[in-house]
Amino acid sequence: MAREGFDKEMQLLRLMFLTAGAYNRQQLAQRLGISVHTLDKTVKKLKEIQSTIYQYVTDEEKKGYYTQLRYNHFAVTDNFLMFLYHAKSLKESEVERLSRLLEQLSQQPCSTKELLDCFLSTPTGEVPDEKTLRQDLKYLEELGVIQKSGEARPFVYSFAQDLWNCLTEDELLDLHDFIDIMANTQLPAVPGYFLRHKTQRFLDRRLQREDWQAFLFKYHFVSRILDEQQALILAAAITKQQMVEFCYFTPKRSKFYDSQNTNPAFQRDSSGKPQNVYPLRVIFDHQYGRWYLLAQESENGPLKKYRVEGMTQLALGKQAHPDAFARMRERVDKQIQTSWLIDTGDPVTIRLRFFHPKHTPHSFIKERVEAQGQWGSITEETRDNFVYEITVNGTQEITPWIRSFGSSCEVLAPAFLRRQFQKEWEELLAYYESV
Amino acid sequence: MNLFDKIHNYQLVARLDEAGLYPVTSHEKAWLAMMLAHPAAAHFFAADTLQKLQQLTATHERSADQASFVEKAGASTKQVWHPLIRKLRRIILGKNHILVHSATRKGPAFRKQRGVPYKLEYSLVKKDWYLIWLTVDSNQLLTTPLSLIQSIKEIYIEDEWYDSFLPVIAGKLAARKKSAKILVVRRYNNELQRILYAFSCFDKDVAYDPDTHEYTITLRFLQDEQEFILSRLRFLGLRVKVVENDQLKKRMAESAANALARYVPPLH
Repeated sequence: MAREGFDKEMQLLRLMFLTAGAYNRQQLAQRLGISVHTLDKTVKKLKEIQSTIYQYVTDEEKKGYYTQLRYNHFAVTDNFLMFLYHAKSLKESEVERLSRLLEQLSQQPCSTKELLDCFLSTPTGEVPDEKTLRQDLKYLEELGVIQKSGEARPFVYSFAQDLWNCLTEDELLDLHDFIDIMANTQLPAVPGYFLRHKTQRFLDRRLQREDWQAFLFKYHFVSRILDEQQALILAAAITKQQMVEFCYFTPKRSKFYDSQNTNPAFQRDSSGKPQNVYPLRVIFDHQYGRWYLLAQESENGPLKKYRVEGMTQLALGKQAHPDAFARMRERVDKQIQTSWLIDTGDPVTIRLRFFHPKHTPHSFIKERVEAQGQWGSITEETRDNFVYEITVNGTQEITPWIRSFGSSCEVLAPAFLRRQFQKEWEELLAYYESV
Repeated sequence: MNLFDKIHNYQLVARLDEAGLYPVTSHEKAWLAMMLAHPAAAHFFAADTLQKLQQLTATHERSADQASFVEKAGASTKQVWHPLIRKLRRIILGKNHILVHSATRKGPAFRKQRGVPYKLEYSLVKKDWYLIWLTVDSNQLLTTPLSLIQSIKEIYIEDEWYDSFLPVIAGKLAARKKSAKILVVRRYNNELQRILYAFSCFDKDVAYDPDTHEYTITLRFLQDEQEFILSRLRFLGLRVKVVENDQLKKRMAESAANALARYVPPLH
């Protein structure tokens, strides 16, 4: 059986989230490279997962094709896209077996035989064979969800509830808040969101109410978690110094995915491009909330830059030679040392004059420059303005940031950038002069 | 680490939830161990709680995976934590009032101002914490940076009384909602993804006209978010144009004119 992949669900959710209602079903299916039938099936499945996990989905929202899969920025404090990570499918009998197993172990520690007896003593449901049960126990133990004790057979298993049992209600509240804040502000976040959901549900029961959430997170790039699975695989490959293989769709294409035909007789050429590279650095860009991979095909080859969201069918490849890998790593680190994001072009020194805001003692401009200006520094300062200087690879990536300050910033050098800004402001003014 | 593990299967999670069971995986404990190593962690907990948590996660070694992320173009984090968070979140939990002593950005200070604390808000752009609260006397909904608050005193009241303010707050928030239509300038359609990412932290709808191939983004935001929207619009420059919302149009025109005035003599 083919391994269950989630590329399609990931690409669909991303496309629906970003383009929020722009496309009809045919247009969506076309952009995803799948049939409308497959699209409908996938949407149905995602909606089912979402309403199972989050009970706040209203009946009204369930009716609309899009409404349920839309994010309510003003009211919801959960990361709305997290439900994707609950998509792994499981046979009904396995859900039954695993939940009964855990329920039993949460009541009292048991040996394999005692567990089998429990299944036998309740006439409903199937009784698993001993081999299956042993496999389940091994899986749960490796996952850290249950613990095995005893020196020799028969081993006794117990449900690991230490986190819940050893903390008071007040401490659990601190723990919940800590997890909530860290998952929303740090990378990676997905394991944190899993943990947050559990702590929250546990506390809902303890406090016997559900209206105790106190935090809101503003300007959150919630979709960043869609790439976390890939980013973690890449990070693991880097640690293990292994190559990676994937099929790449550049972001400028209109297609984001292609259906996977498991029957080789029907396989067609994918429009994505197969890649086989040494992964060197995984980069998160806070400006847009996107992930990149920097990689090389061979030690002497050029540096390649990929957007993680364009990768499908990501898999680990062969082992790299440690020395060669270290040399590549060292080189890429040097190259991105002065990249605003990932530009590895020639360094250029940029000088900017920022103007303090008028009529207020609080210079939010300076505050912002200090917070977001990366390694640049303030070289001169007067009562109404200050000069900031940074040496950065190319001017392209820093330009939007400079522009975002509007008339509070003037480009002093280099001259070509000054001319570029002058021209851009002229053109932008023309957009609005006619209105 | 596979995030799509079967332990997270939605049917299994729902079934276990009914039984009140919340299994914690070693991946999650490893994540927690990593977060507990963050310099801010010590502030969140009492010393013995922190110690307990460290012991619980000690066997779950820091996963080496995370070491390989490089973060770019982020703001240096001012504070993930603020000393008032613990206190305020508990006052909100207890549905009580507060007595606030606070400075303001513009100068005048609040003294003994009684209010209803509503939520604590963290801005991922400013990397700072704010208290959203309603003043009892003047019925104003305020957003005050925690860094400006000098002291908070809890005033115990009945839950029902606290709850009676919630519709007032909801009404005030609804009255602040604004919207704007932003056109993606056609010649930049090949940068559509980037543009949509830039707006992905807002509540929005997108409309696509297959005849003209034009995309129009409808943003919904609160009045006090307008400055950040403007900065995002300038960030994108010529790629987008405000087509509906006179205030934003006017501000963009002013901004462009004032910015241009910095560059004298003119090009032509």
